[in-house]
Amino acid sequence: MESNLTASQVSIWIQMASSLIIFFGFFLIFSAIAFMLIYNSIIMKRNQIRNAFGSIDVMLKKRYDLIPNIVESVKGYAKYEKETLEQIAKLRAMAISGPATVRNTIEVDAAITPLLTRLLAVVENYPQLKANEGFLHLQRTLAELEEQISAARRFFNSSVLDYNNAIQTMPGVIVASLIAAKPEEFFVIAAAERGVTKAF
Amino acid sequence: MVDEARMQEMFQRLWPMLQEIEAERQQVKARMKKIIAGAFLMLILCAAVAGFYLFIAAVAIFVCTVFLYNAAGKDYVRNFKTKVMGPLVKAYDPHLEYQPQSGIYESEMMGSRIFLTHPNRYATEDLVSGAIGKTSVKFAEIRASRETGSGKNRRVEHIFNGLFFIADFNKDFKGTTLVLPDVAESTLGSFIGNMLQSSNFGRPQLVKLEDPEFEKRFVVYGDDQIEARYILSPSLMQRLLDCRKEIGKDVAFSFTKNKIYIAISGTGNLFEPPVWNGIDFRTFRRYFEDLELFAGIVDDLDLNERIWTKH
Repeated sequence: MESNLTASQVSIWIQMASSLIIFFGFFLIFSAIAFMLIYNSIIMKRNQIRNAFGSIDVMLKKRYDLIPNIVESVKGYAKYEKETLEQIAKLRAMAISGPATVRNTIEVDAAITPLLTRLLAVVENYPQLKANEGFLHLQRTLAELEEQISAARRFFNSSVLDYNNAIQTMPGVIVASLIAAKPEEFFVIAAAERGVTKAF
Repeated sequence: MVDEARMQEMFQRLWPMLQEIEAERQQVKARMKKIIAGAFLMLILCAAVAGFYLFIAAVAIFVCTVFLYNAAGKDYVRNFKTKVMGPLVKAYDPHLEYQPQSGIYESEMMGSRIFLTHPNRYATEDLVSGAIGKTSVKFAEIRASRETGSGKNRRVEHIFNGLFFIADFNKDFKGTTLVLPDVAESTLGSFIGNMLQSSNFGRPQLVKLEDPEFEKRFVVYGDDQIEARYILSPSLMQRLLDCRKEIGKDVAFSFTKNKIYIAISGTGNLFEPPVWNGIDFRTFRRYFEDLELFAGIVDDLDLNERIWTKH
């Protein structure tokens, strides 16, 4: 039987096998490094989302802190808005005490913003309030806070987009499936809220 | 867009002054013609006398001509600037002032953080300053460059040559946000362009915004991601784009120290009086248009809208 291999054939096989092993080794090292880099990038992007949400939370709290002042200054002048004021106070209490999840924050914010907007729009009917320096300052501060909240929201959405792109496109999608990373949801302004802001 | 009615009205008002200056201009033009004719004559004489010395003579004549040229026109230029441009600016807005010899300090220009290189040659002139509505403004021409080495190794890096504009911004903020013309993204496409943008040393971190047209035109760097978005609201982004379209030249914006800085390069020598063409409605129109274009930035960017705490 011609199963005996010559010396040179054996050495060729050994050479091929060893280069295959070396190649495979490099491939493993390369994959490990690639995995590490992609994994780190995904985690950093996810943390960026948490960071951005933290900023939104801070701004929203500032706005909620402003609300008692606004309610106080309007109460004296606008007796007819009692119901709106009560609702705002209730929502504010909910916002402060409720769980700090993205979904909850969005929901409370969506409920309270149209009320605030309507309240400030109604102020047009009370000229003494319009002329009140203290109220005007509150109005300006609120407008500024709304812009800053909007800016924080935009940054949050930008971070979410970055993260979602990273875990849904190649090669990140491979790593993402290994660590079970789910896409995050955007901070979307409800259609109703968008419509009411026109009155501002 | 030029306010035709206003321009007509100002032209009528300044007409007597324009006529005076026109008379001066014609004198200067006559003088210039004589200088050129004289120089030409000298050249011919030299050529007739000796060929070799012609070259040296030509150089000498050229130098003298330039010298005389400038001297002949100096008074005229000064008179034009004080008697025509001054009143024109004041008539455009009584709270504005024109000072031809003043300009913007180098420290202010560098303080905008738009430019990374410090100039060692700096010249500025034609300052318009004051207030438009509630916004205090100033703008002037700047020529800044950096010369290194000498003789054969002399290198000149042009840092900035154009109009520099500074105004109060209508929102308070703490850090710096830069909006620079985007070269990479428009030429190399978004992926590679983005990579190049984020590795730009010496700049604050890259800020990626939502408006695709804005992103194509400009690249934004900022100390704080949220503050950058607070300043660059969707409406301001649109206005900056429109501003860039109207000016038609490369524009860089900087938001720092509660002011907005705008660097418009390649505007040439503005508010310079004509020598060869007469001072008529057409040339007047050019000055008015230039002034309106730059002073109009305040309204174009809605800087007088003060609904936030800064008022």
